[in-house]
Amino acid sequence: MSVSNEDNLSPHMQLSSHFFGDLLDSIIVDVASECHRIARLGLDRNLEEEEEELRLSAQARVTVADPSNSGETNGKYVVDIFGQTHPSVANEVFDCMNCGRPIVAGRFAPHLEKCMGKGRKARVKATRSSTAAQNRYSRGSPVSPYSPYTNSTSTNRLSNGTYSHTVEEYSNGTCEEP
Amino acid sequence: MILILIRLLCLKIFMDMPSKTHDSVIDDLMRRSSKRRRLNSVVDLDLKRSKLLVSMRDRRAKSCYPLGLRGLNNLGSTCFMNSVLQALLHAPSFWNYFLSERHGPETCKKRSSDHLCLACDFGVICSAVYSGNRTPYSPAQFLYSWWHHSANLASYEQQDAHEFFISVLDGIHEREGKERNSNKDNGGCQCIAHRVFSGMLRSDVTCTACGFTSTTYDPCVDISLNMDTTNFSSVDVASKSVRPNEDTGRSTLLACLDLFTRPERLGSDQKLYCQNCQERRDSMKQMSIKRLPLVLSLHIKRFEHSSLRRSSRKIDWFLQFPFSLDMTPYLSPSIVRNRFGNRIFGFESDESDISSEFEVFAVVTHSGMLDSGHYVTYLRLQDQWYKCDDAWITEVDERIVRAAQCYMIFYVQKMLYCKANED
Repeated sequence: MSVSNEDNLSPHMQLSSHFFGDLLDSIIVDVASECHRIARLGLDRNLEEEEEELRLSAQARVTVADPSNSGETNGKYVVDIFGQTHPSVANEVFDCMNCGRPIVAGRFAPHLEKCMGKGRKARVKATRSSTAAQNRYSRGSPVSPYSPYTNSTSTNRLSNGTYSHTVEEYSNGTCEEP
Repeated sequence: MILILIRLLCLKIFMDMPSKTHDSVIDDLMRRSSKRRRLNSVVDLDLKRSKLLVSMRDRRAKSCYPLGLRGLNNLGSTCFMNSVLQALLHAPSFWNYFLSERHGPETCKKRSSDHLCLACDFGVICSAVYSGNRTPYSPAQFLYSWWHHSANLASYEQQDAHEFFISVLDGIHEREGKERNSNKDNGGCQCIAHRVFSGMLRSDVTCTACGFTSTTYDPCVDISLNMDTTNFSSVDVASKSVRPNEDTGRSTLLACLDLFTRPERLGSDQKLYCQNCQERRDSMKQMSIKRLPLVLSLHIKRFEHSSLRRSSRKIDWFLQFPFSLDMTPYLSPSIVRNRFGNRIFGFESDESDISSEFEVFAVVTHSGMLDSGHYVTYLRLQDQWYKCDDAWITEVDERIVRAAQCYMIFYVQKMLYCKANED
């Protein structure tokens, strides 16, 4: 589209470069006017706040990654804000609401599972059928009419794992009794 | 004028002596006001009442820390439950409702045959946590009730916190919904779970052949977001050893929300029927938010399932999330307007009763591997962050929270956040 070459171009090429110029101009005007509209209407007014959040976040990551900053105490052997310490396995004792036996809090869930006859181990013991395996691997999302747009929450699970003792899923009969 | 006098009189009466009968009087008064005023008034009453009840509690409690901070014992791989409970126990207007005893054993009519009610049990935990007693509490009864409700999830093994969250809200809705919806004058469920957490999503499906758009609305109690993987090549994703840091590209919550509201081309196997063309056509779908809830729960889908390798993997990438979130760009008016280059206006009322500015109050984080990991919740109370790691409550600097690997983020409307934090 350089002016100096215009005399050298055939009328055909002049016309097409004219069209090209017009198209390019209208695209530029379109984008520019939309940007202007956004700025004028204040639709991007949060840009500064967003950038500030990003900056704080980046700063935080740097601080946390620095090994000399031991701001966070990991592990269970800490004193909480009320000055209390707790054992790694909760030792409060209460009665099971299913069978009435006194159970240690930290072992309540595995006890309740057997007690209620739920869970894989209990089911396998009771029925020895393939439905137990099915139950383990096809846990769908709870039926609720209020989340229709997600495809399946069951494919987006994150499990929490063992806590101070291993989950003995593949061994037979060596589970600890509370 | 008389209405105001009666309202003041009732307020005075139950301020002096909380009792159940006054609820019906208040409810009557509320029903006559407009929807907007009713929502705010009920929330206000709950706030006032719960604050009063809280202030009457045991004064021997360590008063320098806010009430409501109490550890929860891990009952055996139950950190998924503890982490979500901590978030629910601090969801503004949700915990106030339960603490004000608006759902209690005396009023609970919907006890099932086994006398279990998740809502009642949650109320019990609420009272325990806000009692001023700081010894860690064991939510055993709640676990028992929940296993009865969600039989398919009942087992001592790995559980997902998000699944638990949805299941608990569903359980509370079930118990509350029937007695609350007897009026049906409002449309939409009036149970506490939905009043606090439920919003409305809008889905626009556009025919690519003729441009005809059909719009549907669906309620939701949370939004599950895919992480924006476009910054990473497919090779990186497949390789387990890649650990993207700040240099190789960064994903942010806003990017995930952009992705959620981006027009998506539906696959050719998902052709939808176009009313205009009278046949099935390739379509584009675009999501937007029609109505925001009081408490906005965002769930980050960190689970990746590879059908090739028939394995599942956790996406460990860091996700930046803001403490103050403005949801305006993701609302339906903004999305639709943007679709037309911001040239059209006023097709819908842009004002809404609910503002779109939110503040974070709880973050549930997951650390570790897919099969063995640990959930921890960070709570923001009066501008101080606390780490709730099962029984251990500790104070942390906000930078720890900013750098944490978020899995579920709970935001509350700014106005409610400010109100809840004034003391």
